[in-house]
Amino acid sequence: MISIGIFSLSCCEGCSVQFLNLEGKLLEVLKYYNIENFRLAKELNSLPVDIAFVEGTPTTAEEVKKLLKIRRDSNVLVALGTCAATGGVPGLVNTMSKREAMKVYDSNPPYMPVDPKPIDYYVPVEHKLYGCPFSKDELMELITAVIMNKSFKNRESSVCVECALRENACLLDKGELCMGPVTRAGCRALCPSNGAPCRGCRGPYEDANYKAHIRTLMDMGITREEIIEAYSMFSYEPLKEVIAWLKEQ
Amino acid sequence: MAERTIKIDEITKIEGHANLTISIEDDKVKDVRFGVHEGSRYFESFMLNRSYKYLPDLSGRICGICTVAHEIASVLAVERALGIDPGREVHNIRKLMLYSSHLQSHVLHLFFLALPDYVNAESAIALASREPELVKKAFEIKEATNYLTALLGGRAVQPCTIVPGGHTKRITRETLNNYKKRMKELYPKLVETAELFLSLDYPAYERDCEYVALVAPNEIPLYNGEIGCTTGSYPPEEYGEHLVEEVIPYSSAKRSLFNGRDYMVGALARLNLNSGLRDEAKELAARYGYKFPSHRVAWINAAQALENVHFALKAMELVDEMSEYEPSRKEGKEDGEGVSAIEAPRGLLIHHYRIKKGKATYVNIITPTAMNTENIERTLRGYISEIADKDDAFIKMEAEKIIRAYDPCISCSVHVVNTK
Repeated sequence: MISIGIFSLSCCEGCSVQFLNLEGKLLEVLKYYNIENFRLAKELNSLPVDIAFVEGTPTTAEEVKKLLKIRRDSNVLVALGTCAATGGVPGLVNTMSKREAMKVYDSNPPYMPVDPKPIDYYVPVEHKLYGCPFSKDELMELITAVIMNKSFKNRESSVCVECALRENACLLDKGELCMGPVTRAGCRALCPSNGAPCRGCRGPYEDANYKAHIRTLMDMGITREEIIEAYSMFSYEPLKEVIAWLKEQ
Repeated sequence: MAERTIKIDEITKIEGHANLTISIEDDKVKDVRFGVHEGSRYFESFMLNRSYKYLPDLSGRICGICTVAHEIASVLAVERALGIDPGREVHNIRKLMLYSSHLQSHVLHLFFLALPDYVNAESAIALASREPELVKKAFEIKEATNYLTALLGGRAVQPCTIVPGGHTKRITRETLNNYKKRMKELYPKLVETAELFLSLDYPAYERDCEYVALVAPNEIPLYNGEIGCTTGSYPPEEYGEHLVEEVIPYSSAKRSLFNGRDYMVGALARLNLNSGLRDEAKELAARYGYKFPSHRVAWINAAQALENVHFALKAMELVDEMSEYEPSRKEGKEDGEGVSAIEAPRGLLIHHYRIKKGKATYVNIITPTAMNTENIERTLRGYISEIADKDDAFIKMEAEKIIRAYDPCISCSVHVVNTK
């Protein structure tokens, strides 16, 4: 039996919920895996585990320590979902000054928070499952790969590839600010297939051609400011340099 | 002087991170602290200066269980601010999504978070070896509720189709028929679920307090209605005059009072203030000896189970009234102010925005758990006072039953500040 744990740092816990959403498949998974740690669903939680799935991102010093402990007590660490993999939506707070962000708490938080970062900023990570929430199919691929002792690889192509396979009409052609061309595939173009432009929740892939994407958007009459906003939404941390470059244009 | 402290560092089987400290002196409760120790994510800060178009998407990320509720509360506040009416069909699609999201959340809470306490199991997963059929059925019900949300919203967690002025997904007759067919198949299972959760042995503790929920005659409104309490009701825009939040030093979600009283929101509050429960659910309640209004806190579980039956019936009725929908998007003004009040699974949810030139200049979000925190603490203090002479393990168990009944969602308490 392979022991696993599902751990949660600051986040919406949608990825924990998504794990439970494996439903019938989860009962199959339990034939090969023991869930030793899952605070959302279990009373008794222990370490070490063979595989630690971590959702969210540390926003306090306590959580950084928790992450370090999980790393120490696991053989394989998986960043579960976009917050853990890229910093995700919480990373948006890094676009503003601390002073501004603190105003919500009457400028008086009990102690200094930590900037939301991808978890590999703190510890080595073996695998990343992208998406907000992550894709159940990719999780099953990863879980199966581990059972079969095979390697797991993330897709290094754009959402557009999958969108074209589903024969969707291109949303850029309709004038929408779609992030598909620079966003990592693996979701089977879920949002465009439901009529919504890709928001980039899976973050950028390795060879994304930002310049071409930005030029296309600008030619469509979309402003630089709007592009910066769209690029920042899920991927401020990995796209910081692109965003800085954009600001100078 | 015999003094003891009972501490739970991390309460399990709730959404988010919280702890509990109970101090007892000579079998009397000295102090009870329900502390929230989830990190801050500053939603109300980074949503500022964002385009109104992104506010619903961002709001969804506040909570992974009640995503739909946050997205809908957000989209309604935006539309009210900018004077947009997306039209009847869009409102109806959202109502259907709200129904299925309540089912998703209630089912997750009842089977996976609450049930283990009452059947002497550590988790639903552990229960699977003892009662495989029950757990299999729980997963089937969960799967069906997820399917219904995804059918209209693209996916079950973080749906992507809710946008200001419209709905991005085409809804055909086939979609609607499919929704109805799946809900019809699910319905008897929800009745069985209600029978199970109405027959559990809940803590008997009762405490009088204020209840707050959307109210409307002959309804259990989720999408629109006035904000009601036991003494009256008010338009949503007036929330600020009745609902006062203040920072408490040792935690956490701010302390919230309604007309000066501590108050409860959620399924029990909804049933206490509204008499519109469908006959099928009423009959079930009567058969198992449940009567509302009730001050019995742990009946929140039973109230959720009854709501499942009610919402499934309401959803099927609504589908019959609906027609096909072709996606379109209505535009509005660039400036304005809007307040929305809807019922999330865990209770009243308020989003309040001011928008200038298409960008948010003011964001205030008040979540059900932030509203309930004060009530949870007072209930714990009251109940533990009655059982303070019992041993630690018993007190712990009972305190956890009460906390889990509220179904707190700590991730939702976006106001949250960290403390030790």
